[in-house]
Order: sequence, then structure tokens, then C-alpha cells
Amino acid sequence: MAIYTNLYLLVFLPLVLILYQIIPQKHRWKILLCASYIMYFTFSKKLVLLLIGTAVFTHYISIWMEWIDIRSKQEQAEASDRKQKTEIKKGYQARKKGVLALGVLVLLGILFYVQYYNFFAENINKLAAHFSAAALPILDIAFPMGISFYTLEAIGYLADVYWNRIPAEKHLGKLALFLSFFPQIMEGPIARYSDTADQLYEGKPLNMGDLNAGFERILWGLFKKMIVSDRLATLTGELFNNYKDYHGVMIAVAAVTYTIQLYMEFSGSIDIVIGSGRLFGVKLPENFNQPFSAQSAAEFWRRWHMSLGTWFKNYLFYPVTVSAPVKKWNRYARKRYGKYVSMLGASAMALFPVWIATGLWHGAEWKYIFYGLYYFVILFIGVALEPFKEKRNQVLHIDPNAPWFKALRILKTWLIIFTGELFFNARGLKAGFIMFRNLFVDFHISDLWNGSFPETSLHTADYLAIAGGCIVVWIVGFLREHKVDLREKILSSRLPLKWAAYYALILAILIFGAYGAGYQAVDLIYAGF
Amino acid sequence: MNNRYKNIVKTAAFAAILILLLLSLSWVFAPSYWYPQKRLQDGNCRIAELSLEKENTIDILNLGDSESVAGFSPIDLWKEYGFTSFNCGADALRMGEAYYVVKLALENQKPKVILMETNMFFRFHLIEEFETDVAQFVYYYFRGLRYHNLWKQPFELEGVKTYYKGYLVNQRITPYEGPENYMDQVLHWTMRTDVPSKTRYEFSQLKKLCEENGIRLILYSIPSSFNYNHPRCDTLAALAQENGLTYLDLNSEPSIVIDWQQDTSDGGDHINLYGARKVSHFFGEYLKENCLAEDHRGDSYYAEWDALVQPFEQLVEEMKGKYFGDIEQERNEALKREKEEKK
Repeated sequence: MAIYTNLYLLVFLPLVLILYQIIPQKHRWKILLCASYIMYFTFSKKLVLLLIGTAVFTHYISIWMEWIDIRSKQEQAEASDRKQKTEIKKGYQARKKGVLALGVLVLLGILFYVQYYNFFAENINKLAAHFSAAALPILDIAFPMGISFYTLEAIGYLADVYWNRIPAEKHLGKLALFLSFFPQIMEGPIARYSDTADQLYEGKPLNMGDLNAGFERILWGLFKKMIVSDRLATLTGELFNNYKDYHGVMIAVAAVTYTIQLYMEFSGSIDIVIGSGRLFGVKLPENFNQPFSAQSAAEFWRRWHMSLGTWFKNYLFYPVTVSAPVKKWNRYARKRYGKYVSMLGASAMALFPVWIATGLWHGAEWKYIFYGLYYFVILFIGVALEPFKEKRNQVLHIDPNAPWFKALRILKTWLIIFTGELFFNARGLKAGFIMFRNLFVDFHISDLWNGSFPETSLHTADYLAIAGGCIVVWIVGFLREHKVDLREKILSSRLPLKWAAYYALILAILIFGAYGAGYQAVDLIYAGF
Repeated sequence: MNNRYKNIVKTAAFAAILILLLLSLSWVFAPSYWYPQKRLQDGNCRIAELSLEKENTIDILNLGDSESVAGFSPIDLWKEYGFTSFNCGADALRMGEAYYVVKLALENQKPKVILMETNMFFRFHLIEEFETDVAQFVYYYFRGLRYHNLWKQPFELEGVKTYYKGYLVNQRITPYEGPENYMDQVLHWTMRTDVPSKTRYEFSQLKKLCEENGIRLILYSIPSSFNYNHPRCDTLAALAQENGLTYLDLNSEPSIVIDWQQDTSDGGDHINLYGARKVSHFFGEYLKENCLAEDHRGDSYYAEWDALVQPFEQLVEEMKGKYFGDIEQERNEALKREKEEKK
């Protein structure tokens, strides 16, 4: 039961809302938990046990860490001198670290097994074949939907408990709800415990403000998915599946249209997720912030899949930055080579694991690893060139705030994004390189109208719908970028205007949406990660 | 009035206006307004065209999923026997959907016989079933949603007529390479041999609808090396017997000799025009022998049918060895070229 289906939108969600409202406030979180497991069961069947297992394991690991803290404090209170106290604290801290490591390793171990084992086994077997070594078995492993999302949430939760940022959740059921809240289990956003837990457990009564906001957000998501994304999937499917038949401008079309499709689909489904949460008064973290307004690749990643970026920043980038090897390097390099080289080395040491992990998080394929490395290289170059940018601006008399300069930077960022997505959606890394090479072969703009454009089930009217949908989304994004939130404006407007906006949105979806006979609902791309 | 009641009234008013708006779409997206210049480019095209058929002219409805869509040619049946039929199946049709197809057909037709292909008896996926049920229910009461893609018509190129009374001409040949006695095969484990209870219930509703309208319902299994084996056909025979219906298994029917090197378009799953002509001929004989249909040839009320024979034959001649999509593409490209040259 995907979040864009009739079953979810017209039956499941209203039913959960009714049950939620009629149950006494203190028990409402239980309705959300049951709904979450039922929903998860509909697409992962018995693998729901893995989700339950993860919740139980995470719960006891966090309780264990908290127990260690309590014991440490008790023993410290009983200790006679400071030295002894320090010794006790150190000992318990090491034990706590060990428990955290156990928790993280087990959670990552499961993720590795279901998502990456076969990938590594296949590659090791290829290597082993050269040395006539024994091959690792390739296993038929069922993929638990959403595992990449809930595993990161569980690890983040354990790390926060370890750092004493939050107390361990004493109620297993409540923690289970945090890890499995039904709207976000498939596609995220990856929430921090401190962001959503209290709202989930509060059982706030439904109110018109939240219901309106949630309803509006869900419609907006459906608009993006059904009018633009689901249509573009036909074109991108043709171009990427038969990539050898296309070159030049068609490869550029493939990269650009896939990027648009992915944005409309992913941000659209996140709108549905956030809207669903909002119906219950739960404000989930945002995942997108006009990513195509970014003026650099680094800024793009602060605006695109923000919850993943935030997670890696909090739980990988910062810990690595303050880790002993990086500190040691800084001390060593600053003395020997100066500030700049020290900064470069430290950046590389912190950025590299983040981008390898980002690549791998998307899936067990070489193209994803390449995708991560691609951004690592671009971001690292950005860091390396940073000190020279000011000098360049002075020498060339460039005003960095000039609109033309901003536009140029945005355009450069688009090129980086499109190239990245070309590899991201290619049918393997080799196909990605072939497509990239073919981009520069026989590049004629006229191919767009001289009959070379691929024949798909999309017709002129479909392209008009796509263009219209993109323009509407762009206008809304443009206004938001300039601090005019149209969604909020509609919400706070007078009833006739508000209803007119809702009806317009509903009719636009029902008339111009890609649904009905002859259309295959397109699966959510990020649900597979 | 307190806030709670105000909110309930507001929500009800919002829903009422929405329903009115959706009903008004039925006026905007009515096939009669947009047809017949350009046909609908989606799976609703058959239902739309059936709704535009001259009133009470169709005696036989052929119903089923893609197996039946590909395997029954109304124009051939007309040419040879003078029987009027319409192929109103759809790809991946489900039983719940078939019920609404018949309901829609009954709005302007009084068919005497419904030939129901049986492959859809085995199609079941709970969530997809539900999705279809909701959609069909909504489409039935809000017609505008079923035909919402008609907004695209002004932008479409002049359509190429490859549908003839719901039948898509397909002469592509991809021989079947499997064992000769495919009825002995064990189907893939995902292909069930029992009929799910939900499908049985929906079928009983459809049968009731037929009975209420005096329609003879005949079940048949089209030759398909991919979809049929003895256990499946035994299930269907038992089901037909339980319901007092005729069941014709064309896979084991000696009077139909399917040449699996010639009569299939995709290696044994679907039959092509050559196979469809054999099936249509079989039904012509069957209906004639059992006096289930009337020969309308020579009746001026049915003159349109005679007029379709020649273009149908011409299309068949033009697209020898091709799938209907090939010729649509060729024609569309030619039209595009023509337009560009004019510019």
C-alpha cells in the first residue's frame, strides 16, 4: 500500500484519523503504532518482524547505555576522591561506547546483509575467479522496504542517547512508533528523535488547522507526482533503457528530464508524507528547500534530501571531524605545511566517508559509489578553491551578489546536478560512462524537433501538461525562495479563496493527472533504497 | 453553533461542491462530444467507442483481458456470419471491472450473448483489486474521470483507425517454442489454479446482471500456451457447471487448430489476427448452430457494418506482419512529415 494509492488516501488514512480521534488521548499513539505496522505488513509481509526486531534491539541498547550512566553516577557518588571518580567515569564511558558500537554494528550489519551482501559477494567472486579461489554464495535475500530509513533513525537515536542529548525512551512501543511512523517509513524524511517523538506520543486531538494544512500538502504532492513525474517516467525509461540508441542532445534530455522526474516524485511523495503527518498534528522535518536555486553543489545538498544530509552531518561528518586521527593530522599538518594544507586534509578525511556512505546508502551498485565519489570530488574542489574565490572576484571586479553572477552559478550547479543524475539513473556504471561519452557525439539541438525525439506513449498534450506542471511548481518555489509561502497564504486566506485553491488543485490533478486505464502507477524511486 | 458543528457543516459543504464539480466533468468529458474524429489514446477507448455505437445494434459482447482483446475479430464475424459483436475487453481486466463494463454496455445496447474469456478468473492481488474496485466505482458515477484524458484530444494528431469494434489488428508473428502439449504443463507457481472467493462473488454479481437482462453468458478459454493447463481448465469447467453455464475450452477444441508457429504474436501468450480469425470462425459456427445470434446482413439499419469491411481488409493488407502500434507510428510519422512540409 503505497502512499499515493486510493487504498492509502481514501481508506487507510481516513480510517486511522477516525480511530485516532475517537480513542482517549493517552492511547492515541497506539493507534499510530498499529497503523504503522499494518501498513508495513502490506508491502513487506513477514519482514515486519525485522522492523519489530530492530525496535526491540534499539530499545534495549539505549536502556543499557542509560543504565551504564546511572551505575557510573552511583559509583562516582560513592567514590572517595576525584582520581577514583575519573577512573570510574572513564571505565563506564568505555563500556557505554562498547554498547553503542555493538548497537551500531548490529544495525549496520543487518543493513549490510540485506542490501549489500550480494553486491560484495559478486565483486569478491569476480576477483576470486582470477585466483581460482572459492566463490561466496549469492543469496536470495528479501529486501525489507524502508530499511535504509529506519536503520539511520535507529542509529541516530542511539547516538543521541550515547551523547546524552536525549534520555532513552522507556516505553518499547513508543520507540517502535518513532522508528515506524507509517507515512515516513517508505521514503523518509529521516527524523531525529527530538524532532518528532514528543509530537507522536502526545496524541494531540485533530484540529481544522492541521487537517487543512495536511490536506493541502497531500494535494500538492499528488500534483507533482501525477502531472509531471509519472508522465516523465515514460520518457526517461525509454532514454535510459535504450541508451545505446541515443546520443548528443537526447542524452542531455535524459539527464534533465530524469532530474525533474526525480525531484517531482521524491519531493511530491515527501509532501504526501509530511501532509499525512500534519493531519495528526505531527510536523515532520522538511526534505527539500528549492534545491534548483542552489548556487553550488554544497548548497544543493543543503537543500536536497535535507534529512539525509543532516543525518550524515550530525552522525558522521562531525564525529569524524573531531576524531583523534583528524585532530592529529591538523596538529601535524599545520606545523609542517600550514593552515591551508591542514584544512584540505581534514576536509578530505571528513568528506570522503560521508560521500562514500551517501553513495552506498542509495544502493549496492558501482554507479552509486561513483555518484558519491563524484560529489566528494566536486565538493572537495569547492573547498580547495574557496580561498581563491575572493581574490578572483577582486581581480575580475565581480560583484558576487550581481544577478548575472548568481544566475551563472546556478547554471553551473545545474550542470553538476544533471551530470550526477545521469550516472545515478544509468543502467550501471558502464552505461553511465557510455551515456556521458555519447552526450558529446553528434550534438544537434535540432534533434529535438526533427523527428529524432523518442516515440513513447507521451503526446504533445502530455508534454504540455509536464511543462504546465513544472511552471506552477517553479512559481511556487520562486515565491518561497523570496519568502512568500503560497501554501501558508492559502491556508490563512478567507474561506472562498481557500476553497477555490483546493478545488483548482483537485481538478488539475483529476483532469491532467496521469492515471486510469492505460497508465501504470509508477513506483516510488526512493522506496527502493 | 459551536466550532465542532461549524466544522462539520463546512466539511460537508466542501464535499458537496466537490461532488457537483466532479459531476459537471461528465458533461465536459463526454465521448460523444469529442468523438469520432480522434479516438481516446488510453485503455478506455473501447468503452468510449461502445457507448457511441448505434443503439441496440450489438448482439454479442466479447469480454475479458488482453487474451480476449487479441483473440476475437468482430468484423470477421460480421463478414462471415452477419453477427454484430463488440470486443469490449481491456488489458489486465479484473472481474470487478468487467461488471462495470457490462453495466455501461447495457446503457445503450441489449446484447443477447456475452462471451467471457476466463483468464481474468485467476488474476488476483488484494491491493490492486481494491484499487480497481474503488476506481471503477468512482468512474461509474463520475464519468468525467474515466474519460479525463479527452482533454488531450485537441492536441492529438488525426487518429489512425486500428480499432475495429474494439479489436486491434495485430499480425505480428512470434512463434511458440515450447512443448506441443502445453496443457500438461505445470504453470509457474505464481499462476494460481483456483478462483479466489472475491472473484467468485464478483462473477456471481455479473452473472446476476446478465440474468436480469436476459443475456446468455458463455465462458470460454482462448488458446494460450502461456496461461492454460488442465488444472486451470478443470477448475473453470467445474465453476461453469456450478453456475449452470456453458464452458468452451478452445485449447482442447478439436475444430480449432492453432498453428503455434503462425498464429501467435508473442510466443504463445496471445494469439494474433490469424488465430483470432480461427476463434471468430469457431464462435460464428457455434452461435449459428445454437441459434444464439441473428444474421443482419442486408438490413439497412446495419449498413455501417458493411462499410467497415473494406477499410478493415485494407488495413489488414497494409500491415501484414505488423503490430497495430507499428502502423500507428508509421502513420503518425507520415502525418508529422506532411505537417512540417506544409509549414
